[in-house]
Amino acid sequence: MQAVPEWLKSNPMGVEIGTADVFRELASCQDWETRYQRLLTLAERLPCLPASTRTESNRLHGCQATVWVTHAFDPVAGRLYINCDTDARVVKGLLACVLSGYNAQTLEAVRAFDAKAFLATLQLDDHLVSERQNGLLALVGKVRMLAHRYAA
Amino acid sequence: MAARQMNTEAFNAETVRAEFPILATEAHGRPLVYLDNAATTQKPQCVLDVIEHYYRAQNSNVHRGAHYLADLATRGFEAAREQLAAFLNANGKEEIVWTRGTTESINLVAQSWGRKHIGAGDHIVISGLEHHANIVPWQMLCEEKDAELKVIPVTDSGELDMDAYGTLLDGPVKLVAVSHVSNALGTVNPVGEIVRLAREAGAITLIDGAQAVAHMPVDVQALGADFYALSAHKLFGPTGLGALWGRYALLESMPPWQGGGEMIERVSFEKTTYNAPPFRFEAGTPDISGVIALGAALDFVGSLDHDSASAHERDVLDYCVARARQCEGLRLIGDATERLGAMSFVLDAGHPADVGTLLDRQGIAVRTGHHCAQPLMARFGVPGTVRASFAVYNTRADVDALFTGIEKVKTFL
Repeated sequence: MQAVPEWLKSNPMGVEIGTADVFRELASCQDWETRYQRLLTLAERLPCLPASTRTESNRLHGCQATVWVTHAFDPVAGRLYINCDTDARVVKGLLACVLSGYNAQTLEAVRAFDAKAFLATLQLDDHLVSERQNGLLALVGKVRMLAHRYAA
Repeated sequence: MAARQMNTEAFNAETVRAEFPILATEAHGRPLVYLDNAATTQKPQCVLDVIEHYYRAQNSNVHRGAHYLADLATRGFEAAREQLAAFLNANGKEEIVWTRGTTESINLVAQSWGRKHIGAGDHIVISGLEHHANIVPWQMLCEEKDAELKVIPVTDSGELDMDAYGTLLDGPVKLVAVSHVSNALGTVNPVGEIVRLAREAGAITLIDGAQAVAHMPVDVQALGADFYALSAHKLFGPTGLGALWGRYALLESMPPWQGGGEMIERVSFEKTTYNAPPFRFEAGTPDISGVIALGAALDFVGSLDHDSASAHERDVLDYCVARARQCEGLRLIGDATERLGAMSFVLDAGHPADVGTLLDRQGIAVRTGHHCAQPLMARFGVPGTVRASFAVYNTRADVDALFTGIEKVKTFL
């Protein structure tokens, strides 16, 4: 198993920016305009993936935005590192929210994280309805599958 | 032009809107602006009433029961078939086959007519504007039969390249299948000409009418095609129901494609003989309430003054296109001379998915994405578009709301 690449380790979601930070930032918004403005700001914190990782096999097939996801598992620390990229900024913000609960976490924490419930607390759970909508559901499915795979 | 303006004035959109309860509801706390009619149209009260009435007072299986309710259901079911036949100016109700929708209608032709008549080396011609429903069934057939799928190219304006079509017809073409109106761009294809040329070349024709029937009168006899496919839910009727119109002689020559009840004449373990069309293609208990409700939807369409309704629709779409041309950072995808029901665009500011999300938050329902027409999106080099699509109940106020929404989206992205 090769070491976790730097560009994966530099993802601040789940490290500097945890679920509590995302919650504090988004849950308190009085109106949707503020919430989505902050979501777009959050999207900017998610590092872009190197072009070399924007491959067909890393692609999550959604109906709308194209989402790429890449990961590495650090067996020594027992942590899963994940990052995503997409051309759609709102979608990227949503992915950042979800990654605050998944990235750089232990497999146990990954399995315990309820992405849908978390997005509901942010009033963003309507984005987790349809598989074809934005790749978010597909990401959740993929991460959970990875957690099971590395635990085995 | 004066007459057209007068017609527009005579049309009362508010009266029509009042027949659609859902149009008075809210989305995300904002009044609903429904501009996703190419995906599905909303249903008028008369359709909702008929569905409820059916299950309260008529529910029974059709064509079999020798009792009061079965007669009621069968009469309603067959009356709707007659209504749709009249709506399309078919030769008779025997030419109307009920299906689950346009997709199933096309698959029926591919699996029944196609598997019988298409052979190795034959060409099937479709267009670059097609919905996946009018691509994949033919691809499957071609793969099975070692036949070839040929595609009429699309021009920069989103219209079919008719010269290229003429050239394609020089090949061993057995079938031409094109949409009447493009779901993604709203382009109205010259189907009369397409059918005429196909017939001259000795090819059978299928027209995907899903996006046409809610917006224009369709006369299958005048059109001269061999098959016409449509969906009830894009015509103010219920989901899960559609129809295939086919020339009777052709339907009669076709083998069944699904086996079961209703489609048989006589069954024994040694040999089963099949019922005549349309029943030959209607295995199993059909969507009875849906068929009867489609009858109500056709009544609704018939209740509109056709000329003023279509002048109104044209006015709203023209207005939308005119506003789009003035909108900074907006690029129309497809700009056909003949356009109906829909307008597709992208914004420089952001990805269609984001535009759709931010419009949705404002109560504006549009479709974003590839519209089940990925080859067409590839043709225009876009990941998808935003599509505003209209029905008779939409107004200029809906268009104004859309562009107010777009301006707000631009402040985000």
